[in-house]
Amino acid sequence: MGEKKIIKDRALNLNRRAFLGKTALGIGGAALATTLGYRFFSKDASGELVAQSGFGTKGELDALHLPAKAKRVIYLFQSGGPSQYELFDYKPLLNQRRGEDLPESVRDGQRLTGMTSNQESFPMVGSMFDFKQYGKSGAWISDLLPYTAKMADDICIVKSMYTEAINHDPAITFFQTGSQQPGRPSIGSWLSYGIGSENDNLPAFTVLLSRGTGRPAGQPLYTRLWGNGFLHSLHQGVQFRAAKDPVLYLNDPNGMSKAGKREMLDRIAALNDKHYQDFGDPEIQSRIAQYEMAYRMQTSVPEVMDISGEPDYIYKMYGSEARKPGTYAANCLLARRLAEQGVRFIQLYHMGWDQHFNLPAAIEKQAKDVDQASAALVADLKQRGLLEDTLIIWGGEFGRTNYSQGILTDTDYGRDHHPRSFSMWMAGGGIKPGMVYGETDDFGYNITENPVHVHDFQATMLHLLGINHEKLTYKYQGRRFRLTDVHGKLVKDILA
Amino acid sequence: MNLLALPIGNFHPVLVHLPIGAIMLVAFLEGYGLWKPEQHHKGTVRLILWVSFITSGLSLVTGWILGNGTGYESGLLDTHRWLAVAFTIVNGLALYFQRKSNKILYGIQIVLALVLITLTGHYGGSMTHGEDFLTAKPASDTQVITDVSKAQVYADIVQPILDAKCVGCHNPKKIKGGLDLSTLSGLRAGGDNGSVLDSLQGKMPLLGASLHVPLDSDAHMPPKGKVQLSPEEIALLDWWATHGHCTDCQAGNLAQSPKMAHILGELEQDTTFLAVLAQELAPFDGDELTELQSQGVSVYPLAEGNPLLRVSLAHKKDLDENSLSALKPLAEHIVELDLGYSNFNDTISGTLKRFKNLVKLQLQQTDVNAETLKVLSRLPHLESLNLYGTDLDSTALTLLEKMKALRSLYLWDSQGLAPHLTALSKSRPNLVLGKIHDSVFAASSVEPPLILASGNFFTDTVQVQLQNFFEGVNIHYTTDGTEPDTTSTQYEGQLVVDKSLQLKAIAHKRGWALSEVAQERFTQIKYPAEVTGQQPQPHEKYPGTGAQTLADRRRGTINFVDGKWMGFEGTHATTTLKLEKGGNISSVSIGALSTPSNWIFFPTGATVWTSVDGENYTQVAHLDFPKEKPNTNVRMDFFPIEFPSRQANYVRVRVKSPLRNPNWHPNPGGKSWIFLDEIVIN
Repeated sequence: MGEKKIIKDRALNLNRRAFLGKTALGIGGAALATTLGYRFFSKDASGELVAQSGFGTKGELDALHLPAKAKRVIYLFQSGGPSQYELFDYKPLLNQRRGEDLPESVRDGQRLTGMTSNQESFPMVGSMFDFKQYGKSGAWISDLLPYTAKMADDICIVKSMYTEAINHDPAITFFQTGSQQPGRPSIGSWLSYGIGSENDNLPAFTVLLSRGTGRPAGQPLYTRLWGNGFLHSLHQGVQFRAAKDPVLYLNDPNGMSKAGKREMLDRIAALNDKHYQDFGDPEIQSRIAQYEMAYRMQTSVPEVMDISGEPDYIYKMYGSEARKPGTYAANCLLARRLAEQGVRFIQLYHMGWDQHFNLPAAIEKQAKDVDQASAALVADLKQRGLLEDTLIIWGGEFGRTNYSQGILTDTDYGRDHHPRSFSMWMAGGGIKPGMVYGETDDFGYNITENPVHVHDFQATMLHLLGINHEKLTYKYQGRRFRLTDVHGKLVKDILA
Repeated sequence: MNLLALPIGNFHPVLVHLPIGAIMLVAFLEGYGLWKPEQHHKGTVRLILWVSFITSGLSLVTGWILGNGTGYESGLLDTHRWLAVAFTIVNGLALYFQRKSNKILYGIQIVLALVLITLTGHYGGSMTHGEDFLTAKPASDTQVITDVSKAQVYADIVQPILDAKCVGCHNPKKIKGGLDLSTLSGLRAGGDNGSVLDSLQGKMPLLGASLHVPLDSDAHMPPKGKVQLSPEEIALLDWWATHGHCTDCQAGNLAQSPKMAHILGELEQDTTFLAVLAQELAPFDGDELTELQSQGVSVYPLAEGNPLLRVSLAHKKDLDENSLSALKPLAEHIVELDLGYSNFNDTISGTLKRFKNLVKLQLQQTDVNAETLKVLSRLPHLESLNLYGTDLDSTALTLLEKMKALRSLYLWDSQGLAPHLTALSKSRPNLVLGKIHDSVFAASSVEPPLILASGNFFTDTVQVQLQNFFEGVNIHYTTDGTEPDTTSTQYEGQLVVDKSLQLKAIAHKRGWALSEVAQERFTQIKYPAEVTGQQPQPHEKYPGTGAQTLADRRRGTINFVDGKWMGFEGTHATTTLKLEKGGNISSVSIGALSTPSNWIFFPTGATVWTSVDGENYTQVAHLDFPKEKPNTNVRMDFFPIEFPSRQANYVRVRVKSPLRNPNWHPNPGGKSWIFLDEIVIN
């Protein structure tokens, strides 16, 4: 699809050249407006290009495939693999049979990571933390998540997620791009490409990172997780940092005036446009668009990052930690602010869930990092009426084993990676609230009811955004790619 | 060739309309002739009478043949037939009396013919459309299924199929094969061939069997040539049969294969206003849409092929009457309108009345009040209304109550209305107010105070400031190591520390839970020193800040890779320090880190030597520290070694490492580390 369009654009442009010759400066401006969906420039009376304040950018799709329930997504990615047994998947049997070896019939040949493959036994271990039932659905939620529990009637817990990957990077890459191998576009890039942005002063795909206290020096993340893959580079995620310069290399050097900058950009745009007419390379347009976006972000980013105007009671919701830039709570608050501005895909990563050892102590801190702020985000969007059309996703790349990695003591145990079953939750944006979906066996090891594959999750998310996951494609290297590869089926049961 | 074998009977429905029209025309011309005799043309009327007579005869013949094809109720059929015969005769008589110019008898025949043709036509209609076709209300008994799991299998799924495909012939009037499928009792009673629901000798019940025999077979139903059941309908009837033709069962309670579930799912119809509107509305004008988009308005169809539109003017600060009027040509297509955070206000709210089909409207953080709500209360389909952060007052309440279609209403942070929300949720119990109960976040605690000082080490005194982000916070602290509470000393803007101590502080804010404890240790260094020897050198990965790490008056953090810690792997560490100014010293304190999960442990002991000349050292103290208990925490601590006061210019400290991980560690016996950040001499 994309390739055809590029060829078509190019042919059109060449035809125009043949017709109008070299005097046709400005036609490129019109082409800019249409081919990328950006309305950054228009022609004034004298035919000069002028920057224009438009309204968002149009995506590749002329119209959505079906009416959207969600207009934007906030993905609270819990990096490292949160243990489902301490959070959402209540398995009393594991406490009763604590220390017993996991029956081989349950493990059933599941491959292990290099970290436990040499382990002589697999002593089962249940949660050190109690569970109680909450909400109308009677969802079991651990004492580690008191605030999430209070929002039980607003969220849908999926206990039957499964993936194919068993190590962090392939598993996160799988969730974010639909493939375990690097190189494909991330979800946010697909959306930016497919349905564009509602706000042309901010990127359609923003990324916020925070480190957990559960394992402060845990697994790092690669920037390619929010990369555009083979899509246009303007679809890549933009990371907002908790620092003086939230977006790197955005501010003007000392001594440069705003007007001077504007003039410079206009001249560069005119030159680039001329270049574009000579060569028809769409990357030139991409470059112009990015200059322009960067210029606008010089004002829009500081505005959206400035949380000083938020009243105290908002901090009471998100937790006073939200005052500390760079924390998960602060990022959740920023996520809400970005959502209010119509940013399409807001990706948070919270690291530190990779608790192979000392899990009880680590998960207690880690859960405290995220519990209140995640619940507050749901609540805050709800009271602002934004939960109706914002999809919130909370979950990691895989689950953890029901047996202890390392030595099991009275107070301590660890858990290895487990791809066969894990829990996530979603809220808002067309998801059925107050629901628990899917079930695992009494060991929590295998799914017994309503399995949801990573691709199913992706297909369902796209469906909520009004996209048929089979129809949003990009042709590259001779084949059409899509987020769900050649898989994925809609999980109808969790739709409102 | 057998004349009756030709389907000339099928021409009957075409022919019957001709005599009706013709005789009516005759009556009209005669009536007109009475009024304007000079316009009356006898010959023309005669010609039309002939047309009526001949076509009437043809209808009679074709009708007779059609009627012999059985299936029609004999009573109706006979009445229709003989009325038609009578009409033909009267028509003939009219021709005769017109020729004789017997105006009275001719007039009688015409009136009679009109009556007869009316009756004949009516009975004919009764036969084809049903006896009550004139008086029956439009068929509305087919239940629309919105949730198939709650559908009655027989009443909502099976009977509508029978009605659509079988009842045309198997009804009480037409009753082919003696079978009436229009009611449950008829279905149970069966027909000439016996029961249609019972399976005899293990064979399929007749109802299902007649659907499954080949189309060419005489036993196949519906007969070849009639509209057949779709594969899905057959599957549904079969599924019903496997559940024993139950008559008061719900679809959701019966076992369904995935395929069946899919077929059942297809029966569901979306009856929401939006779905129906999308069906009814003509497509929008694409040029108008492009024009609007080029003006910078975010307007998009809900989906491809869908005539409904979603418009956003959110965050626009330059809205006026015209910006909304521009939407006028597409007004009836617009179902969602976002004006949130814009300058929209009461003065331009009148334009909203055009958007009759609005389902969702966002007006959050705008300056709207009663004027706008008056307009909104006349929008009949408004389901979702966002008014959070507006200055509505209580007059808005009655207007909100008037909006009958409203299902979600967001009024949070609309101070004027806050006291009335309870009343509103009472009068409109089904209205979802996006309100979060205060109790949900009641237990939220305030951030611990920030403890700010120029450093953790000082020679004489150090100024300490305690701060908190929030306003209206009281900070309380202790200096004796006890846990502070709201009765502890309150911080009044200044705190001077003049001896080594552990400062613990909490923040307290009305309506919030107490903060966690913030703590900081302040350590007095009476004798600043300089490192002159380090044996062995630290591990190359953890050299600290350089040679002076242990005398730089800077603490490390709980992050062992912060570059401020000196790390030694599997070895004790000996440090020699030269005092800036010699004196009588009596204590040496060692700052260390423990984080067992990273194989880093507190030291197990230390030995101290002093020297006056830097050549000859005398051991002054040796101390073993308590053994670390199993733990997984990250901790920093000081380990003081006291000894009788003595004159010294040089100090040498040997810090003992556990060397190996303890037995309780996940990797017992592994080479363990000690991490040091400071050596303090007093």
